[in-house]
Amino acid sequence: MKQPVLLVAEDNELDALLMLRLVERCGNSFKMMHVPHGEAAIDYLRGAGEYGDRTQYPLPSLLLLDLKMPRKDGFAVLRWRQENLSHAGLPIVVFSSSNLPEDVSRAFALGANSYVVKPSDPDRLERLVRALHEWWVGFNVAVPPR
Amino acid sequence: MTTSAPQSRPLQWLSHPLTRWSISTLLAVVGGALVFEAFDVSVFKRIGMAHEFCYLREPRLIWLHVISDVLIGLAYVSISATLSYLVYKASRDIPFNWVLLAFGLFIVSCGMTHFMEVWVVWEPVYWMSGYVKVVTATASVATAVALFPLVPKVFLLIEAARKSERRRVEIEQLNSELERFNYSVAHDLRAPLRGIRGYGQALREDFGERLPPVAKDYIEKMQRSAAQMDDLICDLLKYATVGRQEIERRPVALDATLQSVQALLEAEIRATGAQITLPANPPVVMADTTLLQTVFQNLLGNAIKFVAQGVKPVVEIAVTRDGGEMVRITVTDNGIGIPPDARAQVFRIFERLHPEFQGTGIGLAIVHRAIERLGGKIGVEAAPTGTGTRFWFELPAA
Repeated sequence: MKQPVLLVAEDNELDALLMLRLVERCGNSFKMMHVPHGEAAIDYLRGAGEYGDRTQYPLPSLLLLDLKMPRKDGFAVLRWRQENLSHAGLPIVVFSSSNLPEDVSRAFALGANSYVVKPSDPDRLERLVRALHEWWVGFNVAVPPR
Repeated sequence: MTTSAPQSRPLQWLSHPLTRWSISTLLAVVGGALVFEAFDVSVFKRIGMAHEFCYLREPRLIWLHVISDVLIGLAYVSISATLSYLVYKASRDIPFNWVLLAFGLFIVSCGMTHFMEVWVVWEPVYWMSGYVKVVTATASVATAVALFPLVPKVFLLIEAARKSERRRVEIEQLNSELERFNYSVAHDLRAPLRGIRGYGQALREDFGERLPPVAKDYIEKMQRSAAQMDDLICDLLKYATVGRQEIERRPVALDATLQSVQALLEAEIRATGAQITLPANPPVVMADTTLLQTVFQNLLGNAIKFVAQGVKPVVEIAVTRDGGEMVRITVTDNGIGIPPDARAQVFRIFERLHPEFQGTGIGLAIVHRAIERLGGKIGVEAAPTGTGTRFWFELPAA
């Protein structure tokens, strides 16, 4: 089976590196790709510019989306996905440090598939990476990326 | 529960102010006439018969003046009565109430002048009418003079009211800005902590074997400090949230809340082997579900945590209701207890009585704030058995 791609939209470089390490620790169940802000996430999904090369930038099976990012934030990415049906089948898991009820409900209203508050306990983060794979790749049925 | 059935109210028109006013006017006129009759100043016999030369002895002219004067007089009396009532009821909230009273006096005397006009039609009491006019003139001039210096003060008052309204809006804006600020500070502070903890973990996991035990111990201490700071920020955030979140007071079943709290504390309960007794007939109280859960989570968490080494926590939650409107809930434990002289300050933020136990000193401050927002009371005393603590709080019954 082909290795599923996890796209991580995260402006904090250190957080993204930590996530990459955990993905590797969890037996590379995902191939992790990283974009530093919302605009890059949209470009990646659209295949704009350098992201057009799908051998180097394969379409993801799951998007882990931070909310507070420069350029375009997570909400903008969610809105873009709502307006572009070609990515309707891509599950988006919001991954934010905010547990403000208004952020959560706004994310779901914009079509987020799940909302996870960033755990600060490293062990919990590792469990989360495993769980993400188990749920979104193992159990969840998604429209294959086109 | 109150039920409001639609009722037919046949006398509803009576409550209209104009109707009331007309009825009282009519009664006053008739009553006045009867009084005059009693004092042998016959009104009814003299109708249409004014004294010499008065209003040309023309009945229509006389009635025109009499009716108008009576109505004006009654209206003046009614206005001054309303003003006095207003000043009496709200004297502290109305500025310049003495001016209002003077104004009332002025209006009463104006009314009297008009009543005199009516009397003069039938009796030539010109002197008396003149004296009443002198009184009216004095009151009028006094009110007029007193009113002048008031004008700038009224403007100041209006300006002050506008200012305080502006300030209220400003404060509201500042408050919501501060809330957003608190939130982003808390979240932005936690992000680097995640880094410290995460990379500490990475260091330990990836290079642990190559590190001397002291180095590993240092990493552990560093991570524990970071975790502690994270707890602190989390608790501060919770404390702020409890103070500002919108609450919805409605009937909350105590047993459901207690069950969900027990589920939240399951790990701690299992680890310590704590024994928790729930009330036999848990009542329904007026509260906000989330806040009540926070209260129990902190109180139960403390009861399980603060026990002497080797002691199995035994916690009893009981409910008493002495017929009043409040339900009293007690949480009694067999823990290390709180010395009597420290009981006053346990609810203060950052107050830590037992530094040997880990904690932020915010939990009970959160509880206190939550109970306050729910309109209840809270206190602490020694457990009846002598060892341990009993927290009690009262909430309105549903």
